[in-house]
Amino acid sequence: MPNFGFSDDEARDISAFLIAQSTKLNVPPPAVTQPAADSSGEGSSLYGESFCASCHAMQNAAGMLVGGNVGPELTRVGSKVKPEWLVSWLSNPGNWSPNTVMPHYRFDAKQLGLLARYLGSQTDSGFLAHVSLSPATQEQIDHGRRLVNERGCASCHVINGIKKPDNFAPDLTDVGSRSLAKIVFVPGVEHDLPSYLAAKIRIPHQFGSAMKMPQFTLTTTQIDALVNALLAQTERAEGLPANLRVPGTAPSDYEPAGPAGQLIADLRCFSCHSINGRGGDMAPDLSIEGSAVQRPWLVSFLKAPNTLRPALIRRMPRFNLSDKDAQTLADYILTVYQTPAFDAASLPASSFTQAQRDHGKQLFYSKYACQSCHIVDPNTDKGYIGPTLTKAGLRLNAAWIVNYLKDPEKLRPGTIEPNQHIPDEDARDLAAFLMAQTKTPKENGK
Amino acid sequence: MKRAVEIGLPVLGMLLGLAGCQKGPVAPVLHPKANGAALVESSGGRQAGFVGSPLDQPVVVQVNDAQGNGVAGALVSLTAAGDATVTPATGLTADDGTFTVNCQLGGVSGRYRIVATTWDKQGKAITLNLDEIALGYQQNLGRQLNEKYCSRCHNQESTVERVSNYDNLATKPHSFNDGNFYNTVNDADIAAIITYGGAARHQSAEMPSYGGTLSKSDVDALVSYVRAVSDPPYHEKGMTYARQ
Ligand code: HEC
Ligand code: HEC
Ligand code: HEC
Ligand code: HEC
Ligand code: HEC
Repeated sequence: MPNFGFSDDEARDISAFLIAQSTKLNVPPPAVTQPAADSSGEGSSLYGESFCASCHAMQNAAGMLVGGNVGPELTRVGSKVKPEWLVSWLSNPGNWSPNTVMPHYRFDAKQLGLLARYLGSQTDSGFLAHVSLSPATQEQIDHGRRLVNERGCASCHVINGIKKPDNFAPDLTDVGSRSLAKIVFVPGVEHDLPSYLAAKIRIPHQFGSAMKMPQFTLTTTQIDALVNALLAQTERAEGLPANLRVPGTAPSDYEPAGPAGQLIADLRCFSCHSINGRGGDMAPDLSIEGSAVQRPWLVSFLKAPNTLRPALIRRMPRFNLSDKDAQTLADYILTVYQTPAFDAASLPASSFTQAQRDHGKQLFYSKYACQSCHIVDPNTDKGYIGPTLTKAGLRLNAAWIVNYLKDPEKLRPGTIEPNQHIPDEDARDLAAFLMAQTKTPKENGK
Repeated sequence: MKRAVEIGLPVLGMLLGLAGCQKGPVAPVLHPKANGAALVESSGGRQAGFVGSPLDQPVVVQVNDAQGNGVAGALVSLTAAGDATVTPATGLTADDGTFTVNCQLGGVSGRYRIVATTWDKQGKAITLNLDEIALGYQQNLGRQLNEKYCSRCHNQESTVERVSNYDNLATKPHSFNDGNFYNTVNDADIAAIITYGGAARHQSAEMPSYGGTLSKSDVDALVSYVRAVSDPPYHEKGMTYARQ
């Protein structure tokens, strides 16, 4: 959000207006168990297991921001939101904001209490030290409304009672062809278009204190990049012949069907995963996931996800799904998200011979040295770039492994596993060896 | 725009690493509250970034007294070579004796020397040289490929975003800025091990083959990146002529 340079009074009045304007939402307060006094350890572990950090950042003890930037930073969230709103939001964000990106976790009363206490304690005492507000007067509220209208807040925000302004700011379609005669320069700015644009973006109000454009926090490089993009907005660019244009891909409105579709929507899988062209790029594409994995593994992963790819810094959250919901999702993924390229069931693990497994082991450790990136035997292998394969035989289908090894990029787009042009026979024997890896974590002493 | 106006002499850009020329507004006169006896680098030297862009990490220098403890309130002034800039160019050290600046690289690829200066009690200047590396387009492409595919094995350092796999390898690869090693290897040999992998060259199979993943121009970009970040710097041999 840009800086509008408001005075304390203006900020007070806008805040008075926004608060007076907000509607009460009729969501019954969720059941919450108040946690024991010394629960902050438990609360922080729950925050960790839920992988809120895939989307939210928090400052660690060293003052470094750790976490994703899909949602707002939570370092000071306890100073920002009301406790009763916090539990209500955590219990189902969709009640407050139907199109929110944040998933609807299935927290029980105890978990809600723990999380809310933990987040509520993320405060900054210095933060609100200089703010003391007396109850708002009608005059202040009216002044706030005027400011919100004048400054065009509704061009970015939805605000009760304020219309999205039309033509609030000048059209920039042809800004790269703007004639210098139409520009009012101020002293210290070179009389050319690039310098004008850079100066306007850097300090908008130097062109007049009544100017409505807010001040953005941009580095010189970012300003240079914006100026370059704006200079390309010329009349000539508009008239480019169609064959010189690169069409963007149309956004996909793919919508999965049935009860699984409802779960996928409610749990916001698309916030992180992409399926059939729709969704985020934080997590692996799931469009052909059904050909990769086995049902029991998938059900248990959806219920209690563990780390798969060490090279990723984001993780799959634990949503506390019921058995039924996990199975509904798994069945849908396994039947609908299949690749047409091969039949996932075509190579049963029972079809492999011991000779193939032995040869596969040799290939794994000697010819390809896969242990540089993977662990099969946790006692000897250390590679930690690709997923741990100690239980590959419980997770993956053999046909998937063979096809994956022949061309990893094709099945997992963007992967960093190199394509080593592994011949068919080697791929099959490696798959035979990996399908024999069925140890549970307990058996490897983890 | 601004850059072009400021460099009156294009020659300056050619004298990378030699010329020092202060940029930005003239700093207000600052009065040091203390003087140190030594100036050392805390962090931020030898970073590589894309030409004309700011470095990822700030450059931090520290003023120490004779015992090696940080001195607060000492005056530090920095200059950057060519059209690189440091901001702020002058200031007083913080409580722990450090002074932190952001550096923007110049518009030509190569090394940019930053000279930091502080003054001791007698008013004698103490200087410290730091070199930063500006990567051209191809070298920068190599850097991006390195970060995606190679650095987990070739860089011993871990970051929040990337855990190093170096310690897990039986044969230890060289860090790409190890000039003592890489300056003895020719381009074709570097390209060959990237393309065909270690096993094909009777080296460790832990170095995978990337010929199926990377194009020839990607491999060339990686080689040019290795050359650009090498320490001591790599000097191209050029053409060798037969003796008469
Ligand atoms: C898929 C990404 C995602 C995940 C996972 C996620 N959130 Fe959020 N969260 C968001 C976004 C985005 C918002 C901003 C509101 C919106 O866009 O509707 C938000 C808003 C919030 C807010 C309100 C903050 C404010 O400043 O208004 C809180 C509190 C919060 N999340 C807590 C959590 C907790 C606790 C978890 C883990 C249990 C979590 N979130 C998991 C995306 C996510
Ligand atoms: C250019 C688009 C833009 C404009 C114009 C804008 N905002 Fe924002 N505003 C944002 C964004 C984006 C956020 C979310 C916080 C962030 O990422 O910085 C935000 C956050 C906020 C928040 C905090 C809400 C929350 O739940 O955290 C308030 C209050 C707010 N804006 C008020 C205003 C007011 C009042 C105006 C007009 C003076 C205004 N904004 C104009 C983009 C804008
Ligand atoms: C906050 C982001 C986020 C949300 C929301 C999310 N996931 Fe994930 N998911 C991930 C990440 C990150 C991974 C990769 C984890 C790893 O490799 O360690 C993952 C992995 C998976 C995998 C395993 C993929 C494989 O490699 O076999 C499946 C299956 C999956 N998610 C399904 C889902 C489904 C179904 C939903 C919705 C119910 C969902 N995810 C919601 C982030 C998310
Ligand atoms: C440079 C490191 C690297 C090397 C070498 C490597 N892998 Fe991988 N491997 C990965 C990564 C990273 C992934 C995660 C793929 C992704 O992006 O989903 C992976 C995934 C896998 C998977 C799981 C695929 C899936 O869809 O979940 C299998 C099986 C596998 N590798 C086998 C092998 C075998 C066999 C070898 C030796 C021939 C090998 N790998 C060599 C890095 C490597
Ligand atoms: C899985 C770990 C791993 C990955 C990923 C990896 N390397 Fe290597 N690399 C090695 C090992 C181990 C050696 C040492 C081989 C030897 O000396 O026998 C090596 C050797 C090399 C050498 C020969 C000189 C030296 O350092 O010993 C070059 C050049 C090289 N790698 C480049 C690359 C490039 C470029 C990439 C990314 C495209 C890359 N490597 C990715 C492990 C890896």
